[in-house]
Amino acid sequence: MTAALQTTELRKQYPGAQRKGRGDALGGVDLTVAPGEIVGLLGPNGAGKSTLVKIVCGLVRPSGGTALIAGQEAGTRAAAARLGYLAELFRYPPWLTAEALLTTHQRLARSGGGSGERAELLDLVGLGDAAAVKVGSMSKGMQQRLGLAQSLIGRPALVLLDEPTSALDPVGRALVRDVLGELSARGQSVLLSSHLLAEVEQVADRVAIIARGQLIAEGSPRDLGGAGGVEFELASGTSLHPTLTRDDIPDEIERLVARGERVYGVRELRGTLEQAYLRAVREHGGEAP
Amino acid sequence: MTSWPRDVWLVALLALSELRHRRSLLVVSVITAGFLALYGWGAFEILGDLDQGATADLPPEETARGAGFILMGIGVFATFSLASVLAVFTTMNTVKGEAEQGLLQPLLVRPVDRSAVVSGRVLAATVAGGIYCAIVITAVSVLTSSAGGSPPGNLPQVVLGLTGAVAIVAAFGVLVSTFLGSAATGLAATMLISVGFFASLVRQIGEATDSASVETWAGRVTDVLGFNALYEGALGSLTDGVTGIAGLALQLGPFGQQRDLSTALTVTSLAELAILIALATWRLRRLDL
Repeated sequence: MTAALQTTELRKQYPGAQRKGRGDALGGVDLTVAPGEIVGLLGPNGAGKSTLVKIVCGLVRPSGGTALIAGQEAGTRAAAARLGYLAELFRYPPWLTAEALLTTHQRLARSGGGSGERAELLDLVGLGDAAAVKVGSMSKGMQQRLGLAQSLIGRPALVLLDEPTSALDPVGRALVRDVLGELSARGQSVLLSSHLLAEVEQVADRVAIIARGQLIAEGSPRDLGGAGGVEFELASGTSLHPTLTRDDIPDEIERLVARGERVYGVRELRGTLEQAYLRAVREHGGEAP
Repeated sequence: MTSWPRDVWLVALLALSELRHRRSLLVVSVITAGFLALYGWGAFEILGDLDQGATADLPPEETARGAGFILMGIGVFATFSLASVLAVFTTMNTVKGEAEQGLLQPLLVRPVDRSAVVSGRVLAATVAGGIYCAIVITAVSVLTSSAGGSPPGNLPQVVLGLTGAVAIVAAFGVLVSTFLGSAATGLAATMLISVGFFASLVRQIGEATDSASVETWAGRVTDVLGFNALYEGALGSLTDGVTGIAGLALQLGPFGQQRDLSTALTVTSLAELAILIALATWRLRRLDL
């Protein structure tokens, strides 16, 4: 099956970057997003996340390598027809109503979904009652949810979301998580760029960490977090064994019982995504310049 | 409708909607109303006092004709100036300005060719400018004849010439906006228009003083600035077939040189418009946004 997104040796050097002593914004990134997969894109400020996302949606021209969206070269109209994009910094004409904005983007995206699609998308992002509300009258959170609805017009194979929850309250964030789950269930893929590690950990099937234009770690949040030890609940309280793994548990219980301890519970601990992220970024040169 | 013209039209409609909602039209309307009030007052005062200035060599009817054409020349000059301001305001934030605000990106990630984005903005400015020129020239003509002057019969040609001039100003505006932000683009485009007027006047001075080199070089500048050549063509249409003192007064008037609105001028103007749109498209395709 064709990947929703496949980048190969993707490079970007902005004009004048060498003269200013800066390296490549992207130094040869290979990244694949499978159909229906949600991939979190993490990295410090200036790591190259936005550059990667902008190349994929055709706003920035790569200096080398390739980026294919559902098999189509990024930046082409065929690729644009297969993706939806919500930028971190965006504005829509304030005089347009939510309905009019979606209608305009349906025309631009050549979506034949009509009023049914508009109503469905507004309901999906919790703006079912705001179809007639003008963008200029909306809160930042409502605009962000409207932006999310806009990015889903035409059921794109790949949805690129750059900090989609930055303006949302906890309820709004939960709503976005639900939307992402629904997209994945429909077979649509999501590349989610965010600084909110806890959010990404909750929704992403896989995480890619970028630093200094390089992909430095990749895997499921669970795998990246790694083993965090085992915690035993004993009569005397909890006992943490940070070096033990799941395979060590039966032997350790046997040892504790032999020692006269009563074991009431056992919990295998995992490292958090935040720990894995900080570890990876520090190992690869820390914060970007 | 195939996709390219449909996209051009859609972008043009968005730009026209922006023009309406940003109240630029309101500002231009208020200024135009002020101009027409002053023009009407001046026309009635001048044409009402003409009998006192009549001599044996200059009969009253010829004086009235000449004064009427001079007033119309002022009208054409003012209409082009105001329509150019409108065109500049419609196009000055097309690329860099809107990209800085985050308004352009949601449009560019859609499967819309960049040439459609550029052409749509030029079309919007041309439509707005053309309607504006038709209304103002008609109003000027009505005021002139009401005051006792004899307006020219070929007003449609004058409007057509001015509309073409506005289209080229708009194309210049869009091209400059791929390099500069809104304010700088507005400034650059306005100064370019002033250069055109200045070159036209210098060419006229060169002709009056019989200085071939001044006339040639100023002529070359006005040829390159196609909007100015078309403005001169509109002025030429005003006096097309007008002889005697009326024609002479306009030819020596303070509104710049005149020329025929010929087929050659039409072809070179269309070619210049196409080149400007192509350059702006090429530049927009190469920009990292």
